[in-house]
Amino acid sequence: MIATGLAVRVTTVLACACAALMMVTTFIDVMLRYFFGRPIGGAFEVTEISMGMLVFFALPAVMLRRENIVVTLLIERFPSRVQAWCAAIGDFLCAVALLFIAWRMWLHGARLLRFREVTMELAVPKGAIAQTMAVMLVLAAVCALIAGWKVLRASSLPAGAGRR
Amino acid sequence: MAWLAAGLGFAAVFALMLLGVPIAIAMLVVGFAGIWMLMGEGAAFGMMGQVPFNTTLSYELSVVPMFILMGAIISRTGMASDLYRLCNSLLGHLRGGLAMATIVACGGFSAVCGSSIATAATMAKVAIPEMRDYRYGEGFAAASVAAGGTLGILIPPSVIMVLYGIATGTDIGQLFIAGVVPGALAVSLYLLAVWVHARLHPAQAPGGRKADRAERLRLVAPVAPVVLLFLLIIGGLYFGLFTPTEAAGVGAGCALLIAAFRRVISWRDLFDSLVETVRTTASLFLVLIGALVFSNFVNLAGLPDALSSLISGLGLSPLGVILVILLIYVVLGMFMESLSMILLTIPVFFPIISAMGFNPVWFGIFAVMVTELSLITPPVGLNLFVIRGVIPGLAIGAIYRGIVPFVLADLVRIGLIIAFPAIVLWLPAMAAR
Repeated sequence: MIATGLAVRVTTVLACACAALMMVTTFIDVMLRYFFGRPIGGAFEVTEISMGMLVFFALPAVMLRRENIVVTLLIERFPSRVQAWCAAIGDFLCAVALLFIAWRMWLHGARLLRFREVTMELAVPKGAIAQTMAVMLVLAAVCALIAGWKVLRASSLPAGAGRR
Repeated sequence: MAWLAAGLGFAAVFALMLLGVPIAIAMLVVGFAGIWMLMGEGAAFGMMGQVPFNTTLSYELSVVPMFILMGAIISRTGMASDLYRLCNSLLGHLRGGLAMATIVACGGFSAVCGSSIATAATMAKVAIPEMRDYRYGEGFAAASVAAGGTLGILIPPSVIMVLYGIATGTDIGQLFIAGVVPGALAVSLYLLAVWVHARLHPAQAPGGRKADRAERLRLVAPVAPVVLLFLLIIGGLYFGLFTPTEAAGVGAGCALLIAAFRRVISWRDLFDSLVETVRTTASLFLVLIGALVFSNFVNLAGLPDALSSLISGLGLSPLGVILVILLIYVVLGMFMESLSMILLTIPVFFPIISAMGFNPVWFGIFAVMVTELSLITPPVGLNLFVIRGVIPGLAIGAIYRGIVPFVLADLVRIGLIIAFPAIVLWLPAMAAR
């Protein structure tokens, strides 16, 4: 569990780096284009790829901290033990779904690698992107399980969890 | 067949959702199961590998994190209190003036923030203590922030407009420009609501201190960067200088420069803004992915066609259809999270709406306004809870009572854009394409 916590920190920092990269690239690209008439080559793709990676790098943290968007109208009226079970089952379902998507994405990535598909400007192998995302999904699934187990052990939902 | 499959699908999503399963996962699982049943294993399995990959690797969607980042940075610069101080010096001395100042300051903050929740949370910390000092009715004070906060998604930039644009293929720049005039209308109607409430309950909304001209002028300068930032973004979109993504990148970059220039932001603050941005983005995009899978299922089941033939069979007029949709949204909005409500219903409503000849930009603004309404209608008006989270000890019952004039103002506004679609469509029609 400590290892997972550490991994989540690293992936969150990577997600932040993607967001910063995206902002800086777009900003500089626009400035260069309007003031010097020449954009950065591949800026479009840097933005596109960092967008995708950002989501998947941040997903483990979202799962671990139970920051999913949840409707709490009904379950908040249940006794706290029942609430905890509902939340844990929800987390379990999340984990199963994430693992399933990870499996399909890994295979999709393998196919892209086999056909040597690369992005147009920067020639990044698309399969590698898909498989990195798949690995992040596995980590996110582990985080969902940990979050569910914690809720069960505490036998109640942490205050404010899940509400956004 | 279409009715049965789609009906079961919606019932299953609602059931899972009410049992506390994250909305994204509920839509994803049900959509996947439905596609499997309708189209077989190959289509369903293939989709699960491709949809998340193709959806997130998107240049257009990067508008969302960059505008969230801009809002996150701006909210750490103390700009909200500068805005509030200025509005207060201009309006505070009127009866109900502090609440009016709150509305206008919320409108100003919305111009650099794309989220209603962030707007409400930021302004609550600034405006509510001030109104407490002047002995404003607590529920009324909180309600004015909750209502003002909803402007966050109507006045561009707006996260929900981007997601609507992506889900329906509507031009995001046009949607942003279309939000400007309705945003101004919203501010005016809220001010009217405050004025009426202050007339009816003078004790709840007394006047404040009167500021002199020198003080007012002095307060303008700190707010200038926000105004310039808004003008840069919207002007850039209006004159066709930027794509929405470029506008977002420039906006976030300039917000950072402003913060750095004023020396109000530390590295720690910047990192926190980034963390907030990526977490919010990831949870929003998970909902988007779930909604896309579910909407594929609804389309494959043939629900939009079935609904269209039902409508023509009933002989409903376009106005009748809009009113029915409004009614459905009001009911759904009472208990559903607003973004998921829009993403869940768009695949059903949008084909009908466009077949009937409604303008997609107009319907986008309509959907945003309905969302705003759902943010302040009990029992699950999210903004009401956000404010209670920020200002502990507020009685929820008092907020419910205080919100009534603003809900009425929202309904009037929705009625106005139905009666006069030009309110929405005039400005985007003028803009450069």
